[in-house]
Amino acid sequence: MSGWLKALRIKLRALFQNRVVENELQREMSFHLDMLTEQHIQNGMNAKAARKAALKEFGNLEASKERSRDSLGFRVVTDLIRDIGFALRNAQSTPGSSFLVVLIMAFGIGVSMTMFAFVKGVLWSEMGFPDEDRIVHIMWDPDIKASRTSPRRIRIDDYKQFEESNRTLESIIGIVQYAPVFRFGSADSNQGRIPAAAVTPNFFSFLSIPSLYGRTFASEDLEMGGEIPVVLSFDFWQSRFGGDLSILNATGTIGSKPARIIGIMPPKFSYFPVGARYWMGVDFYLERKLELPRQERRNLHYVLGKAKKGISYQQVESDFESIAARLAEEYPLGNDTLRGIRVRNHTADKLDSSDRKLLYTLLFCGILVLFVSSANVSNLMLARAARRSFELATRHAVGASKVHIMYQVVLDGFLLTLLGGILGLFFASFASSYVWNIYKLDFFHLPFWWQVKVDTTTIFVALGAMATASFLGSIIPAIRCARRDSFALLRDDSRTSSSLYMGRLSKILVGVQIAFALSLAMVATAMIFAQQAMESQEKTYDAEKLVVGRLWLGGPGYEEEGDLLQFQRNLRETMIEKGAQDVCFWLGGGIGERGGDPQRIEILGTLYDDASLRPQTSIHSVSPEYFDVYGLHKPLAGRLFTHADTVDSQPVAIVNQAFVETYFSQADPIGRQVKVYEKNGKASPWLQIVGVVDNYVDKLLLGETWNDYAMVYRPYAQNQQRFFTGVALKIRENENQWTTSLSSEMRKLAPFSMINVVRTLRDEESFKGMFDTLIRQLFGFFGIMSFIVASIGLYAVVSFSASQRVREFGVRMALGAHARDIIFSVAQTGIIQAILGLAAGITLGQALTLHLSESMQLVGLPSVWVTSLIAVMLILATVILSLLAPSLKATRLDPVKALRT
Amino acid sequence: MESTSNDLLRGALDLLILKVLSTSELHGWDISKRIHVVSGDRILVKQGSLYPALHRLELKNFIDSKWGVSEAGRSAKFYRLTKKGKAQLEREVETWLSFAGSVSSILSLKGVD
Repeated sequence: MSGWLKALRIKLRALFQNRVVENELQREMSFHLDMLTEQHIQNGMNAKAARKAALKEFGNLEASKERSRDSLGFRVVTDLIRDIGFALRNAQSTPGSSFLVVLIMAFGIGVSMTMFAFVKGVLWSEMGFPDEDRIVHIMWDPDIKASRTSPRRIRIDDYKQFEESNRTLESIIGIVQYAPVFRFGSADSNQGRIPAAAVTPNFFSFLSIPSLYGRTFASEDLEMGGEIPVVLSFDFWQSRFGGDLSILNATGTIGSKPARIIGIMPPKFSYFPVGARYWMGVDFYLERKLELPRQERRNLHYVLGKAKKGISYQQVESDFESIAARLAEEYPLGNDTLRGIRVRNHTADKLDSSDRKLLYTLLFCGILVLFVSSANVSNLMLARAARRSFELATRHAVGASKVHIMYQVVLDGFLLTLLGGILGLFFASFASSYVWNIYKLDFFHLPFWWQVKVDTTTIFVALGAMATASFLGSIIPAIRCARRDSFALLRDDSRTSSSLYMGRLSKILVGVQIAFALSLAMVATAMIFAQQAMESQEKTYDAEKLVVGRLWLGGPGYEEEGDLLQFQRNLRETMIEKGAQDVCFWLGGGIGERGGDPQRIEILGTLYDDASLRPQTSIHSVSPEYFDVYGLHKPLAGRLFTHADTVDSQPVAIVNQAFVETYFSQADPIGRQVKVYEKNGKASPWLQIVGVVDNYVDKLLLGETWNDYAMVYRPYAQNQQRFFTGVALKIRENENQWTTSLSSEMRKLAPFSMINVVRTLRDEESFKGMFDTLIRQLFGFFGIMSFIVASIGLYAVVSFSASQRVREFGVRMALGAHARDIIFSVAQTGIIQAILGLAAGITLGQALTLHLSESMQLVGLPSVWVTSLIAVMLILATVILSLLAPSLKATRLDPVKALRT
Repeated sequence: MESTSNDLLRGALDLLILKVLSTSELHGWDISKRIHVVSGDRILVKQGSLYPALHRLELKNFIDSKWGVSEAGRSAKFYRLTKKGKAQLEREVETWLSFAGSVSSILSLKGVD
């Protein structure tokens, strides 16, 4: 055993097996004493005299043991216990500042760890697949293949080529996501469209996830004409079948095909790909050969591959690029743009980059809060050390080493930090589960790997943060204490104002604190404004009284283009009969979705050098009732659409106010003509603008995002397409029955169509804005809280420094100084650092606010002057308040009394 | 002799213990007795110094200890030299001899009287 290891073993034994070691020490000494007694007896003494002589010769037994204990390492433990006891007594004797240190630390750790747990849970949770880092997502390069409607989709034939000709992948899987009608069992509740994934049969073996019950797919499951093998997610099995195991091997139908449930997955594996509640094993290639009707043909939504060991993404990418080039050459028809292919780590799919940035900013703010807390603690520790300067000086004078004094100060800080940190962890644990529960409730398609909780990693990070905070908080005061010589400290004490405190360092810390607190306060202010703007946005419609849904019309009876209009007429009649005020339909992005589905346009009479310079704007194809349903029934100019605008009449368009301001300045747009270019490059005929409608959100709130609200409306009848059609129902009272009634009527009229969630517009809007709302609230809440803590710290620091000088003030007052002079003199302390702190805070705060407003597309933000002014006023109010109390106390003090203090 | 030895011993105790243990495994009582006997009854190591020294040497990994049975049939803690202890002994013997040589050369100087 090496030397230090042995020493460690002995010391640890002394620490943890204290009694055994003590007993051994006693036995060893007793043996020696007995042998000595024996020797005396042999030399002729009687037993009693021999024992007495031995004891005398042995000397002080306890002192001897004590020296042995020292060398065995007992001392460390006893010293530590004594020092902890001392530090606790010290904390008890200054309950106010001890409480503040604990509170500030609890808050700092609590807030930063909640942020950490949230960011970690969403961003860094592992999916838990073996070899996860070798999984790549293969898709067409969206920049090159922009002409396709969905560049990421890969055709089955291309997939087959990929599978057969690649040299860099171990295996490859394809996934299609859709929601077919799921019928198992006789009960009505077991029917309906459920989001699912059709996957290649090697899906589960690719991911190396075994089933919980039953089995996963096997190649013999896929003989055509047989049943579709189905594997259920645990959640779906629980919610739909109540965890009934007899459902295994049950038969039913999916869409119109027979199917059989063959397995159930473990609870930790669900919603992969996002949204899927169950999986169907499908041989896409065989299916392709059957030449299914157009609406049932599929392109793969996801193609994932597992790179061979030792193969990099770049190698996979160049392999696939050569395959794509060959495909483009061999099958030029429709494949001429098939050059670019992109391969990336599939974990990048987990969250898009703007959300990623947002989460990192959240984490950064969490770290800022921790820094504010540390700076606070550091200053409070300096104040505590200043209060103890007499004691520390005396200890130093009677021989305590500088190291020991430092150790005492650090231990004092460490214990309080530890206590605060533990409280903070409890807070974080509570807060993160609270936030997560809200989030989980409202976000039902949550990826299974997101897991927000205070876990072991978070606890370790918290311990690290605590150690850092306590180190940052205590080490500077400790060094300062140890560097002062005892005479200086004793002299300080006689003056009652310590040079330990409010020195340059202390002032810098206050400056840093002001900077961080200010920037967080600015972010919080901006977030509150943004939240307020979102909530008070005035719209032309009442989102509570609109029920919206989307459907993809298909199946028997809906093969011809004109059938879409027939369906709309039928549905509208039925719903109005049932008591709805009106029903409208539209194509394109949903209402309230900024930029919904932007397309390029051309305005007659405007020249564009290049097609790519044509402006982009949102296009909505709407039924004539649309404007009435959404409260835009009064055109600002011209007319609205009527049922006379048909495919045979003159092509027309209506634009909104934002469009007019963006493209026509103040000129009259009526009679002007626009052309719309669809994604596939096809151009519409020239559309004559026949009317102008208002924007449906308050113009004042649009701010810099004005262009995003510019819209061109076309009559649905003149642009019928088989994409998802939006349906909106205007109702008189918000009652739940309308959502069920609308979806069941749609189902009755078009049983083979895909119907997406039907809900009130209010629910849809809050669902879509959920992530942003949550982030806004988190920033706002934590910003305010950290500002409060920074203010408490600032108050403590400033008022402590002023109260230390009460005696000096008394003397000055006695000599004729005015109260005003006293306040002024206190305020002067650290003024330069405070001003620098304010400037730095405004800069940092503004940078953070700008970054957030860009990535969250915030509207309704006030200018930097407003946010910074509010934040600066708050900080100044805190400082003035903290100065006022001790200064007033000093001015009211009887000078004689003050001198006796 | 004892008073002289106390001062001298302060520096030499570790050396004496290591030397005595280089011959055989011994318990504390035997160590002190052997030093006493071999020194011609001139050096008596007090127990109050012996045991802390033994524990200090053990902590430095110069000696090792284990419980065993003494000649008298009682359980006692036996110490023995480790490899590191042997090397340390050699170094200390050398240092001591050179120091003693220097002292004796100074002492052998002829006085002015």
